[in-house]
Amino acid sequence: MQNIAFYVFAVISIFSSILVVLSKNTIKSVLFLILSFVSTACLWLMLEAEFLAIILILVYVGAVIVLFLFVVMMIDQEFEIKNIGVSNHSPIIILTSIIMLIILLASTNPYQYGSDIIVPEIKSEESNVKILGVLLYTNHLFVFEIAGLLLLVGMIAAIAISFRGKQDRLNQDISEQVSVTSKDRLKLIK
Amino acid sequence: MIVLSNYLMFSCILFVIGLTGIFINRKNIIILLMCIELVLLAVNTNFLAFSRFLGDYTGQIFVFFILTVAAVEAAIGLAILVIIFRNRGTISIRKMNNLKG
Amino acid sequence: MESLKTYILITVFFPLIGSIIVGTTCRIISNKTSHIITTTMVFVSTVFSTKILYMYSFQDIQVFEKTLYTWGCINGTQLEIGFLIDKLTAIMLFVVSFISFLVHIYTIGYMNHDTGYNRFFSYISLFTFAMLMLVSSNNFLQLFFGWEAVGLASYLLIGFWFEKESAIFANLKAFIVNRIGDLGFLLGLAGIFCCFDSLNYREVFTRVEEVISNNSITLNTVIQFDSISAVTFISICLFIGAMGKSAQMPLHVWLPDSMEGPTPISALIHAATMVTAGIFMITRMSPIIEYSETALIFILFIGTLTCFSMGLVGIVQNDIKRVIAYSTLSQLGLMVAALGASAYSAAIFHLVTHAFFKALLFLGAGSVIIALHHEQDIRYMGNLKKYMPITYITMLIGNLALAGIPGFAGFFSKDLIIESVKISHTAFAHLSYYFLMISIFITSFYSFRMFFLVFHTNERINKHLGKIKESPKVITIPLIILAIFSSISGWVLFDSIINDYFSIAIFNKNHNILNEIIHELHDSKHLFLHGLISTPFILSLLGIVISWYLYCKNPVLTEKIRNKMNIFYRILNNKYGFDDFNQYVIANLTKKTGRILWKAGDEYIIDGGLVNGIANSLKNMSNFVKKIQTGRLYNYVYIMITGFIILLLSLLLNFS
Repeated sequence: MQNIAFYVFAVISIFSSILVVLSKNTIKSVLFLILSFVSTACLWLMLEAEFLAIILILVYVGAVIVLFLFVVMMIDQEFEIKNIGVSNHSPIIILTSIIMLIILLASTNPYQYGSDIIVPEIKSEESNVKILGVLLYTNHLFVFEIAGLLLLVGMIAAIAISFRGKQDRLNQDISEQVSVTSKDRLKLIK
Repeated sequence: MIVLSNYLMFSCILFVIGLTGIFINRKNIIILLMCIELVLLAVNTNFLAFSRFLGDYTGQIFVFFILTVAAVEAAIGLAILVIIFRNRGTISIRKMNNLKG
Repeated sequence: MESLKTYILITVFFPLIGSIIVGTTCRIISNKTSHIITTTMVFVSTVFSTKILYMYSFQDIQVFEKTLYTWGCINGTQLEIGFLIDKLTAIMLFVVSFISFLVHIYTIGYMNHDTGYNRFFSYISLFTFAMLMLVSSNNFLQLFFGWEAVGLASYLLIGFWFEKESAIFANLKAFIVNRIGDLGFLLGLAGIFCCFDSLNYREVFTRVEEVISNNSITLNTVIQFDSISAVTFISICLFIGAMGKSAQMPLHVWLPDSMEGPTPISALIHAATMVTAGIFMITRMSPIIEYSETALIFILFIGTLTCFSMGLVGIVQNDIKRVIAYSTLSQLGLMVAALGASAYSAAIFHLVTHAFFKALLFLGAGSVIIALHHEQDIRYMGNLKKYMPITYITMLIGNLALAGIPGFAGFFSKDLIIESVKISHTAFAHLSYYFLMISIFITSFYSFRMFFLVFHTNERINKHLGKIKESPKVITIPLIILAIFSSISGWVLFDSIINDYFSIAIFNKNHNILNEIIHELHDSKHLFLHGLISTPFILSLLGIVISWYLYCKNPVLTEKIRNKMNIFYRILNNKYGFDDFNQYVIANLTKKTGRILWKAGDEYIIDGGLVNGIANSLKNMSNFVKKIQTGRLYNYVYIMITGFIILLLSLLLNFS
């Protein structure tokens, strides 16, 4: 049962990742990404990381991917880029990727990471959330606070980058007005 | 029997797909950012697999933080993307070669 | 010895002082001031050199050799300024300063209307200084300094009228040919430096014998020289230097062209003093050259060849100065032949007498030229006996001396040389004896040809020249003085020379010719009487008679002879093709080589290939490398990942 579930979710995730890259339509790419994330979340559930699976769907898919969608909708794409999706040098790139894949797969082979690993039994009756909470607020408190600060900084940065200011209104900057000199206002034309 | 290597191999495949997407992509920058998310997802899966099979919850904490950082990075990346679109009128990768020597 | 040091310093350096004073102020001082300064300086120099000669001839003083200043030291070898005075030096000092003094006086009259008057006096004083340095030096380097300096003075003076293009051509030719000789001289100097580790005469000369007997030196060049071959090599190289300076064949080509300069310098430099520097140098080097039979044979050969062939060319010359120039060449050949026959004293004796009568001949020719307003072609002169009696008589004396008529100076020295060559031990000396006899005939023939054509035959002077009168006293007085010297110097000097006057100065290894001659000839009176019945006298007399007949009595016959022997005439007129060879072969070859080196070597290879090539290859390389920077992100990521994969692969392969 677990095997089938694993393989189903894994295959869905991989296929939709491939389709993220190869889709001609950008919206479809985003949607396939959502599918990939959701099936990966199911996989995480199988790994007994319930909290993180839900967080993935709620936060990641629900906020970040939606943000992606917003931007995709906002950007006005030209017609021509819908057709030319993939680079000219695909064969060599795919070859490189296959080599990399072979290397990685070879190093994570079942003979090393297979059945020798003794899976410890789940000891506690507490939920995943509680365990994670305890760990976060005791051992890793400092990093937790830093992560919060990081989120704040990110928010400020995103606003600061894209803030255009008030474009339609004619505002007066008082400090600029007060510090003006005659050179800025008067010009003698002979 | 699902062993550790299953999850690891899955994570590797996802990683390579994301990486390939970065350089096979000629469409636009959004695909690029999405492929980066895929890479991060693969790494997260890796961490969780190890955490589960070694019984140490530190892996899950780490994934927590990676998720945080990934979210922030996606936000800022998109903000930059918006600015680029504002200044150039296009987000096609082909037109982004100002650093050409 | 202190007084001697003062004397030599004054003798050598006073002309330099005069030259510098006049040279630096030549534009602002008047003609009179410049000639008074320089002539006075040279006169003082002459007085002191006479005193030195007197001291050495009659008071029997030791050889004076002193190094005054060491200016450098190479690896233990001292480079110094010093003076060596012995009998050879004393005679040379006297000859040089005396003739220079006479020429200074002569120039006052000759260059009277020339704009470069002051410059000329400065130059001839400079020359006098250089020549005096040359003859009084005590080491090879100072000799070389004097050598080069006289070459420089010759260059400056030949091209004195530098607006004339032929003068510039001539002075360049003189300097370049001189330089070729100097190359040989430098090789000889280098050889001496290598073999003896010293440049001082005394040190080198005293060591030659022991070095040869020990066979202790080797000259390691491309060819391995042992002692005797090293000495031969050095001697021949030194002689090549003498060939350049004393105009032996084939480096003689500059002397006829040097007649482009004013006549006083032809007298001073190219008759009496500079060209004899080579003779002097070989005599001075006699301790070295005596040990090399090969070098002596070579010297004899070159001397005879020059004497004979240059005499022949002198027959067909039409410029009065060129005739005398070729006679100088011929007499130099005679002196060199004497050197080759190991008769060094005879060569020096002839050098002294030749200085007197050749200077006389040149100055007389100058007097004729001035009187005829710079006409130099003897075909347009004639019957000048009527107009210029003093010049006539002095030229007659000079020509008689040149032809070797007994009683005049030339006879004694020439006869001494002929006798020496006859009994010399050098190989082929007997053969050269015959050639020298023939050249005596030729000498008297062409010198009297010139004499008759200028002074005797019918008048062919250009009518527009107006009345011709004798030159002013300032010109004729040196002529008279030199005529007196040409007549009596033979009588005076012969006895001393034959009695081994130069015994210490000149080194004769086994064959002291003079000792053998003295048994036959005893002294000057015997020589005179013996000479009246000897073959050379008959030959010279024959020369005079034939030239009188051909040019005075029967000029038509000359035309017929010339037409018959047209080929010979053309060869002689072309000076055996030396000038053509130098111009068309050597000069053109050098120009072509330079052009090839410039175009192919410099422009193509160095500029194009190396300099531009390096820049271009850098440019091409960077153009190629530039393509890596596409500016596109995915390219960069791709390269990163590929590098990463390679790294992984290498790690994996190393582990497994």
